[in-house]
Amino acid sequence: MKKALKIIGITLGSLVALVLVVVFIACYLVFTPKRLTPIVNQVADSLLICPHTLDEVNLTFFRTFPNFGVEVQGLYIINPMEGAQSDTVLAIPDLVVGVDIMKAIDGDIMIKKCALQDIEANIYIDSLGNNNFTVWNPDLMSEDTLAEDTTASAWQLRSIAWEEAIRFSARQLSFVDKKDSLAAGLTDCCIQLSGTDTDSLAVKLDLDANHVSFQMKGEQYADDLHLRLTLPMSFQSSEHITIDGTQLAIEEYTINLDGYVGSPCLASGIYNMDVTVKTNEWKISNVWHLVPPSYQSLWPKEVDADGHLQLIAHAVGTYDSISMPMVDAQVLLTGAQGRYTPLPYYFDEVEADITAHADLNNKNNTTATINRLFARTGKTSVTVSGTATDILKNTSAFELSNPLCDLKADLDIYLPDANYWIKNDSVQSWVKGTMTGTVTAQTRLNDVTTFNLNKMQISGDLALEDVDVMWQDSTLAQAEGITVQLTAPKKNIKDKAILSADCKIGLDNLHAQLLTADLDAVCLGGTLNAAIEIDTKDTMNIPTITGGFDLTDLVADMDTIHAHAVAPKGQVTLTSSRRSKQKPKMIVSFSASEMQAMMGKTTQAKTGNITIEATATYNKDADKVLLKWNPRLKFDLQDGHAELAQLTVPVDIPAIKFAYSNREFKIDTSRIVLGHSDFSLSGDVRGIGKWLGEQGELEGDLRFTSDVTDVNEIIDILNNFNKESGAVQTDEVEQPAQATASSPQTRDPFMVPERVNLNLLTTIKKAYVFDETLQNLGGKLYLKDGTAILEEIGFVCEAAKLQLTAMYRTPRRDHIYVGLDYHMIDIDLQQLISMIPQLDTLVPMLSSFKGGAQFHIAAETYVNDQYQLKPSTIRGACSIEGNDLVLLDNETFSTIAKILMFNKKTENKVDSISVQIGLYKDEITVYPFCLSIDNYMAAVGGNHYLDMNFNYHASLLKPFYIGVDVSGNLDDLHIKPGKCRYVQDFRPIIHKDTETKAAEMKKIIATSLKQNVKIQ
Amino acid sequence: MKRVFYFVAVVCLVLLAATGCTPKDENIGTEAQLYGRWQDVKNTTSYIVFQTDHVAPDDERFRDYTDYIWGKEWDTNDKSEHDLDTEDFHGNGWFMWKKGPQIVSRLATMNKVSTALIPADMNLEILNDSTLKYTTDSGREFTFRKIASK
Repeated sequence: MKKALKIIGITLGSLVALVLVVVFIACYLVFTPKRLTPIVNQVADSLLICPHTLDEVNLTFFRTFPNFGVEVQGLYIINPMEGAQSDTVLAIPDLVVGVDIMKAIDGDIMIKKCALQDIEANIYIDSLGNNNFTVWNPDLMSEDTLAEDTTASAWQLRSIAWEEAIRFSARQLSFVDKKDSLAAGLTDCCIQLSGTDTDSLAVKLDLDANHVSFQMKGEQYADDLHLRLTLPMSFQSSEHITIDGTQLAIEEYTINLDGYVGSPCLASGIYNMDVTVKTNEWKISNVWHLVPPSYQSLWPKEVDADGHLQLIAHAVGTYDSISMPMVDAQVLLTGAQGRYTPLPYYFDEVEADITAHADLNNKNNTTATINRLFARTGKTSVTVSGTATDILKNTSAFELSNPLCDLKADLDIYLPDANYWIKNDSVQSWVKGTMTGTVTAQTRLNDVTTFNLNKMQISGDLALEDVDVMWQDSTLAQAEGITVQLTAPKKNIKDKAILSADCKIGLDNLHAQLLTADLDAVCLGGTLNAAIEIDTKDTMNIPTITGGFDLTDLVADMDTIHAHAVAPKGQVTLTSSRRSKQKPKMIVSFSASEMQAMMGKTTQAKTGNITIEATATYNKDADKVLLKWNPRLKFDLQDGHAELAQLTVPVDIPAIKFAYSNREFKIDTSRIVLGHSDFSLSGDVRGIGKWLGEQGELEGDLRFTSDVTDVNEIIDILNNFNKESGAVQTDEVEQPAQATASSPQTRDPFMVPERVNLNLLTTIKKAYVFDETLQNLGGKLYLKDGTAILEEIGFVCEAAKLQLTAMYRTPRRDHIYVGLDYHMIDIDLQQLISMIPQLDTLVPMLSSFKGGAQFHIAAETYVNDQYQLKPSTIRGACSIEGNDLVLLDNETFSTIAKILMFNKKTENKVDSISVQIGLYKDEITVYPFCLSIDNYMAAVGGNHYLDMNFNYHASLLKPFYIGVDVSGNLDDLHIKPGKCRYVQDFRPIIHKDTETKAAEMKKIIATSLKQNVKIQ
Repeated sequence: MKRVFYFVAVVCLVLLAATGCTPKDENIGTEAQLYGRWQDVKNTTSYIVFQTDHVAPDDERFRDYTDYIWGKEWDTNDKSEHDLDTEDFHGNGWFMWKKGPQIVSRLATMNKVSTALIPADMNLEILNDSTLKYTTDSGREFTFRKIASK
C-alpha cells in the first residue's frame, strides 16, 4: 500500500512538475512580455488610429489559475480634443483576462476571469458632434474587411461567454456631450458584470459608485452622490430582456424595478416594456436636496413641508415614435407635516395614498385616484378621497386639460380654527364648536376657477355641535346642534343650463341675540331651508329663490316686547310667472298653531291657528297697486284675542277666513267680539281687478250680522281710543278759520265709486243705543251706479218701530243728491222729540204732549261740493199723527182747566193730533192742524222759511171764533188778530161734502208718505 | 106776506147758489195755454215746463194720479234740464199738475227714495199765451213768460 501511494505520488508530482515546466517555459521562455508586447502593440497600431501606449502584455497563469490569461499593463489610449475633459480617452493600468485556451482555439471564447483595475475613461462629444472615442481604424472595421478576414482566416468567433464576473474598478469615468449639454461622471466606482446563465444569456451588472454627478442642459441633477445599481438582465430575445430584481440606489433612496424591456432592433427606436418600479420611503426634506435648484424654485416658498414619500409604478406597453407605454403609479405619503406660512395652520399629520393611470397614447384617458388624503391641524382634520379623469390634453405635449373631479371630503373641524377667517381688528367675531360631515363635489377644474356653478355638483351633509357665534359685536348665537344639508344642483333639476342649489338647516335649541337692538330669540328646534334656481340660458328670466322655516317653537324678546309662536312655519319664494318669464312672482306662506305678542302690560295679542298664503305677480305696465301686484291671499285665523291700551275692552276674533284675488274677494267667515258687541261679515266681492282697470263693474254681496251691538259701548271705546291715541275730540276742535275769497277752505266731497254694484245686507238682532234697546235692526245698504242706498233699514225698540231709507248719489262733484225716507210708528212723543229735537221747533206744542204717535218724514235735496244746499231742489214732507195724547203734567192741566173752566170730567188727554208739513224749495208749509180738549178747539197752521222768517195763524174755533196771526222772526215778532181762517177746515158753519183744500193736501201728504212703510 | 116770503126765499136760494159760482176771470186762460216752456221774469235762471203727457197708470207710485199731467221745473244755478230727463226723471224737479178754473194744483214728486208728494199749488192771476202770474198759498208771487211752446 505504501508503495502504491508512493508510486501514485511520484506520478502526480511528475505531472505537476511537467505542467509547471510547460507553463514556465510558455510564460517565461516562449511567451515573454518582450515577445508579446510588440505583437499586441502591432495589433493595436493597426486597430487604433490615435496615439496609444501599452506598457506590457504578459501571459499569465498564476493570476488566472487554472486557466491561462493575458495580463496587460499600462494601456492608454490618447485622443486629445479641444475642450475635452482629458486627452486620455481610456486608461487601463491593469487588465487581466483569463480564457479557456482549448475552447478559444475553436472559436468559443470562454472568459474565465476578467478584471480591470483603476480604469479611467473620458468620453467627449463636442458641440458639432465630433467625439473623441472614434479611435478604431475605419478600414479594418468596415464590413468588406471583416468579410475578407472571415473568408481568409480559418478561425472564427463563434461565441463569447464568461464564467466569473467581469470586474471593473474605475478611478474615473466621465462623459461630456457638448452637443446635447450633457455631462456625467463617476469616480471611485466598481462595476461587476457577471453571467448567471450562459444558455439564455443572463447577465448581472453591479455598479457601486461613490461619487456620481450628472448635469444636463445646465441643470445639476446629481452632485457627488453615492450610486449603486444592481441590474440583472436575462436576454430571452432582443425584444424580451428580463430585469427582475433591478435596484438603483442613490444615497439611501432605492428604486426597485421588476419586469422586462426589449426592442426588436436597437436602431428601430422601438422599445417594449412591462416594468414595475417601487421605491423605498424617501424623506422629503432629504430628497429635496437632490432636486435641482431650478426645480426647487418651482416649489412655493410659503410651503414648508416634510414627510415620507414612496412611489410604486407600473409601465407596460411600447415606446416608439408614435406610442408610449401605459403607466400606473401609486404615491404614498406618510408622516408628513407642513405649513403654508401665510396661514396660521400647521398640519402636523398628513397622509396620502394617490394612484394615477396615465395613458400617454390617449391622454384623455389619464386618471388619478385619491384613495385617501388625510390632513390634520390642531383639532381639525380633513379626509379627502376621489378621482380625477381627463387630466391631460390629447396633444403631443404634456398639457393639463380640464380634469373632471369627483371628490369626497370628510370633515372634522374644530370651529375656533376658522376664526382666522372671520376675525377683525375693529369688531369682534368668533365661533366655537365642532363641525363634522361630508362634502362631495363633481366638477371640472375650470368650472371651479371660473365659478361655473351650474356645471358643478356639490353636496354637503354637515353637523355642528355646541355652536357659539359672535358676529361683529352685534349678533350672538348659541345652538346645541345645527345640521346643514347642501345640494347643488337640486336633485330634481336635470337641465345643466339651470344653476340651482338647495340648503336645509336643522336647528336644535338655538338662542340668538341681537345685541344692538336688545333682541333675544330662542328657537327650540326646527329647520330652515333655502333654494335657488337660475336659468343661465336666458338671463332675462327671473331666478327662483326660496327661503323657508319650520320651527317647533320660537320666542323673541326685545325690550318690553315679547313674541311667541308655536309651530311657526313659513316660506317665501321669488320666481317668475308661468305666463311671462320676465314678470316676477312672489309666493308667501305662513302658519302657526299659536301666536302671542305682548308689549308691556297693556298691549297684547294672541291667536290660535293662523294660516296665510299669498302670491303676487308683478306687472310693471299696470298703474294701480293691486293691478301692479295682482295679489292672491288666503287668510285663516282662529281664536284671536287683542288687548290694547287704547281700548277699554278686549277684542276677540273667534274666526276670520277669507280669500282675496283681483277676481274675487270672498269672506267665508269673519267674527269679531268687541265688549258686549259681536259682528260677523261674510260674502264676496267680484271683479276687483277689472273695476280698478276700468274695464268692468265691481260687484259684491255681503252680509253683516250681529246678535248684539252696544252702540254706547262702541262710542265710549272709540272716544277713549281717540283720546289715548292723541286724536283731538270733535267738540274740542277749533272751528276752522272762515274761508276768504282768496283762500277758501274747501274739502272734497265723498264721491260714490262708479261701476260699483255692492250689496250689504245687515241684520242686527239687538242694539243698545243710548237708553234704547233696538231689536231686529236690519236692512240693505247697496252701492249701484254711483248711488249709495240705505234701503228699508228697520228696527223695533221700546219706543218705536223704525224704518229708514236713505240715498246718496254723486252724479257730479258739485251736484250731489241726498235723500231720506224715515218712518217711525208706535212711538212715544217724548221719545220722538228726544230723538229728533228739531221737531219741537217746527211743532212747538208737540213737546207738551206725550203718548203714542206716528212719525213719517221724507226729504231730499241736491248739494254742491261743499255740501251747501241748492234751494230750488229741496223737497220734503212730514206727517205726525198722535192718538190719546196726554197733557204733559197734571199741574199745568189743572191750571189751564181752572182758567178755562173745564168740565170736571174732562180728562188730561187730547183725542188726536195730525200734523202734515210740506217742504218745497225754501218754504216749509205747516198745514193746519187741530187740537180739542173739553169745550175748546184750536187750529194752527202757517209757513216757515229757510231764512227763519215765519207766518203762522192760530184759530180758536170753540167756544168762539178768534184768529191770531203771528209773523216775522223770533227777533221781530208781529202778533195781530185776524180772521179765523180754519173754520171751514175744522168747524165749518156750513158743512160741505167736499174736503177743504187744506184737508186734501194733508191727506195727500199723509197717504203718499206712508206708501213706503213696511214695518207693522 | 106770502109773496114777500117767497121772494125772500128765492133771493136766498139764488144767493146760496151763487156762492157756488165763481165769476169767470178773463185773465185766466186755458190749459192749452199753459203747455210750454216758461222762464221766471225776476229769477231768469228758473224755468218751468208744462208738458202734455199724463201720468202713466203703470207707475205704482202715482197710480192714483193718472188724471194729472207731467211738468218739470229747475233753476240752472242748481241743475240742468238734462238732469231732469235722466237721473231725476219723474223725481226731484218734476211735478204732476192739473188745472182748475183759477188754480193749477201741483204735486211735486221726489226721487225714488220716497213716495211722498208735496203740494205746491199755483193760484193763477194771469195766464195767457205769453204770461203766467200766480201766487202761492203763502202769498208769494211769481211771474213767468213763455219762451217756447214745448
